[in-house]
Amino acid sequence: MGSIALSSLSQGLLWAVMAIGVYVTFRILNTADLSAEGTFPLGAAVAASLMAAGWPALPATLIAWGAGMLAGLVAGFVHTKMKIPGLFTGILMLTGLYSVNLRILGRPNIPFIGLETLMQRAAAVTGGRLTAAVAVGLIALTLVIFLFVWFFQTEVGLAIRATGNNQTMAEANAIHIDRMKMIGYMIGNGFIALSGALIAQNNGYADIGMGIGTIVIGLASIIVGEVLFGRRGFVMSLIAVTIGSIVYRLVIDAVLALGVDPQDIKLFSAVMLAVILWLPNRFGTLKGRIRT
Amino acid sequence: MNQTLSIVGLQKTFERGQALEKQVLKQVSLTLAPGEFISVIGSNGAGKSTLINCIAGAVTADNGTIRLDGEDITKKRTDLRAKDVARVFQDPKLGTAGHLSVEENLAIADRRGQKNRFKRGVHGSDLARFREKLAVLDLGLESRLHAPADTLSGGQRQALTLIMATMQRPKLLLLDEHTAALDPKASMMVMQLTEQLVREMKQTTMMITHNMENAIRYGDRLIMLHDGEIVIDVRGEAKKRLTVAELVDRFRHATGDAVVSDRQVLSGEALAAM
Repeated sequence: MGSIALSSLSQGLLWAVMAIGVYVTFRILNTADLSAEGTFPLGAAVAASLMAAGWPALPATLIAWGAGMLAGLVAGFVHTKMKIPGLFTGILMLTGLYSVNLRILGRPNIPFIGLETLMQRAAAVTGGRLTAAVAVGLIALTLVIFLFVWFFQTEVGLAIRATGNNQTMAEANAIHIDRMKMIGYMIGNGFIALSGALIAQNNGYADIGMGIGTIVIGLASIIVGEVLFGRRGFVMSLIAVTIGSIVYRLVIDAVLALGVDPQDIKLFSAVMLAVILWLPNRFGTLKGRIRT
Repeated sequence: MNQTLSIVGLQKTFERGQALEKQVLKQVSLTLAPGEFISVIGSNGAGKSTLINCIAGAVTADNGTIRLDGEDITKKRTDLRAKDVARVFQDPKLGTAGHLSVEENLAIADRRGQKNRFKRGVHGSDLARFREKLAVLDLGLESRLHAPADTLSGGQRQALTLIMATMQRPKLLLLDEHTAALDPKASMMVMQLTEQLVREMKQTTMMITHNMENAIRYGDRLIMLHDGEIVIDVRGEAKKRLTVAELVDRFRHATGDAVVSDRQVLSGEALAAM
């Protein structure tokens, strides 16, 4: 039981990086960006193929992060310059990225057999596979939260937040809203791809299908966090998202441990998200209000 | 003479070629001298909002030119002209970002028209200046710099928007019925603050209002729009002597239309004041 909890914790931490990426587009830019379904496996594919070609894990992971930002730039361009609504932008991105990801992988699945992942390098220090995953998760998450909190208090960061919150006000204050949305898309999808690269290494393989349900997991983590903690300052909100991600993973792992067929887990998570979204509207939250 | 704002032959038609085609601005020409404070009145559909939207860039005119300090801004992108044209909206929620704190809103306004960098948005060295600006309002906002803007009342938010609009002195300040959504007390507070700021800064200002009393009491000049045209333009001594009754009278005369009821011109408040 303890190892299940530790496994949930490590998975939750790694997935929280993705959830924070979704938080950027969902809560800061105020759009539900489905690109996540394509940029998450993009990160995994880039890291896996680079490492298979002999790159060390760290630069491969960082380049995967950059690839996600590039995909975010494309999404931002499609959304702002081509004036395609956010929902369609996401659908275009995830569809197009499927082929891109297949190209990068070269085949549907690349295992990390014989390659030294970040988790294996960490395990040399921590002495265990699960503790290594927790350590890598904590380091990545701390970095992401630090970057997030710093960035969204800079001049550009304030302009992006104003754009997502009140476009009229942003424009009236001479903020170039298209540019701000593009930067927001880049930041969000960068985090999502980084998470994809980390989870692929933790799982031991990168798979073309691993992006399915990404947005559901991201949104569920955000909403669970907000139901538990309300919406407050940045640091608290991001910690809430992290805890939301861990709680989500615990529930999924518990359900699996109860003997539910892994095939049915996507259905279960979709139903769970529906219930999570419905509950606060029906009964209010534990703390504060919530907007979806 | 060098005009701050010079509008020539502005035309705008909505739903062109359709059954609901509506020529909102027929032929509007108007100049504003530097430092002039003009109030614009008119009934619903007279074209007041379209005029201000054309100047701010939210609506693009079909014909005519808008020059600001000699520069043709008729087709300039909204966020680019926002550097020179500041705006306060009717809805108090529109002027500030509700999720951002008071100081973050002020910091954004303080950098209007400058390039945003990857440096801290709210500088500690700015806070004293922010507090000073807010203290003038006498609303206690100077001690609520960290409060999200959506925790403020409508009047407070509108006062904050006014401070933000004039923080970087704009060439032109547009007030779009900016007291209409407030309760009478808050409305008076915001109107007095407007008068104070505009006078102190000798700020060229165009104020749209539904309230004839305010249009008469404030500003150096008053124009009335009717059916997309300027039908009354009063300034100087004549403007100072103007009364609501006289204004209604001149409106009837100018439009040659006694059928139009006062209600179409006047807000309830102005009627009550008669």
